[in-house]
Amino acid sequence: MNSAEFLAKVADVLEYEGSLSRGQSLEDIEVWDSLGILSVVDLLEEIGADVDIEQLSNLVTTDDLIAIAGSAVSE
Amino acid sequence: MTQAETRAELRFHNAAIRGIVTSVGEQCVRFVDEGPKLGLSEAEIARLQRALGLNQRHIVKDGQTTVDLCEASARKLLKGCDVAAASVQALILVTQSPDYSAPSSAIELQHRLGLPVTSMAFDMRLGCSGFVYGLSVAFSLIESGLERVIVCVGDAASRFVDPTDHAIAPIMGDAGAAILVERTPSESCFQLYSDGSGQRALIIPHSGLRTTAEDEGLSATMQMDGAAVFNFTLQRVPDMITSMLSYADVTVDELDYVILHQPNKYILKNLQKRMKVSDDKMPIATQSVYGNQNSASIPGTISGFLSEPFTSRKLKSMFAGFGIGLSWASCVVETGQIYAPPSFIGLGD
Repeated sequence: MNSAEFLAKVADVLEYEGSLSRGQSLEDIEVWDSLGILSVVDLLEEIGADVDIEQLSNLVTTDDLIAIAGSAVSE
Repeated sequence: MTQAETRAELRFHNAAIRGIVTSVGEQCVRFVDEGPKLGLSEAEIARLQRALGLNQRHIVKDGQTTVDLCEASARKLLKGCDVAAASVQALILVTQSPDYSAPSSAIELQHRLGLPVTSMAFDMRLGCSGFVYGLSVAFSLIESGLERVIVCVGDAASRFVDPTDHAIAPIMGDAGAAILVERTPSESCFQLYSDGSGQRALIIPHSGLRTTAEDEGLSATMQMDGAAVFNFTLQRVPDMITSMLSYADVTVDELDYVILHQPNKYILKNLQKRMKVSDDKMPIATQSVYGNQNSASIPGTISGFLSEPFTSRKLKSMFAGFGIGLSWASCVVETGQIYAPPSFIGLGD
C-alpha cells in the first residue's frame, strides 16, 4: 500500500470528511480525538504495525503516522 | 521464588452460586437526549453511538444509593431462593460508592436485611474487577466452613462522575446486584491481579486522606485517562483469559459463556476479536442498554441478557472483570439452574 492509499484508509476509519494529505497537522483534524486514535490503532494493527495509543497520541503530522506504519506503507 | 509461585490463584470444590438478582437505576437516560446538554454535536453523538454503542443508561433518582440498589436485589434474592435472612452467615459489599467512607456499608446492609448479629459483614473497595474478587472471597469463606454467603456488588456511578463531563458521564449506569453463594460440590478456579502503578488511570481525587500536586484543581469526581485504560485492557485481559483457560484446563469451546465486564461495545469487540470468542458466547450489549455498571456488570449481564440459560441449564462460564486500581480478575465457575430473574428496574417489585 502506498502512502496515499494508507491516508485514504485513515480518513475512512476516522470518518473524516475530505482527504488527508502528507504533512497535514493531526491537531487540525477535528476527529483526531481519543476515539479517532482508537480507530487508527485498529487500522495499524490490521496492516501489521504494532503500536499503542500513547505512541499515537504523541504524533504531530500525517507523515509521522505513515512512519509509524512501518514497512506496511511504501512512500 | 518463581513467578508461578507468586500468583494469586484459587481453586474451590465446595462453593457455588445459587442465585443472582440485579437492580438498576429507575431513570432511563437516552444518549440522544443528553448528548446536546453535554455540548456534543449531532455528528459527534452519531459517531459515539456507532463506535462505542452509547445508547441509553439507567441511573438512580432522588438520592438513592448503591446500598439501596443492593438491598432491593438482596431482598428479592432471599425471597426467590426461599432463604431466611437468619441463615446467612456473611455479607460482602463490593463498592466504591458506600453510604459513608466509615463505617462499612455492608454492616448497614446486614442490619437492613435482618441478618443476625452473628453474621460477618464488610466492604471491599473495588470497581470493575470487584464481582470476581468478591466471589473469590465468598467462595473462600464457604470453603473454610460457612454454609451461606451473600455478595452484593455495584455502584451508583452517576453520583461520582461530573454530570457535565462528556467523556465519562454518558457511559456510566447505576446497578446493584446480590449473589447467593452456598456450600455445594462444584469446581471453580480464580486468578486475581493488581497493578498499583496504574492508580491514576481511573481515580477520584480528594476522596480520601491524601492530596497530591496532581490532584490540585481536580474535582472530587471520577477522572479517567481513557487511553491508559484502553491500553491496560488490551495488554492485560487477553493474557489473563489465556492464563485462566490454562489454569482451569478448559478451552473456549468447552465454555458456555465468556462474560466480561462491560465498559463499552468498542472495547469488548476489540477483545472478542483478539480472543476469538463467538458472538453467542460473549455478550457485549450491556453498556448500551444499562450503562457501565462497574462491579455489577457481570451479574448485570446475566440478569439483563442471560436469565433463561442460567435459570434452565447447567453451565460452565468464565467471568472476567478489569478496571480501576488497576485491578483485574477472572474465574471459571459451574452453575446449575440458579435463580436468575431478568433485571429489575428501580427498587420496587
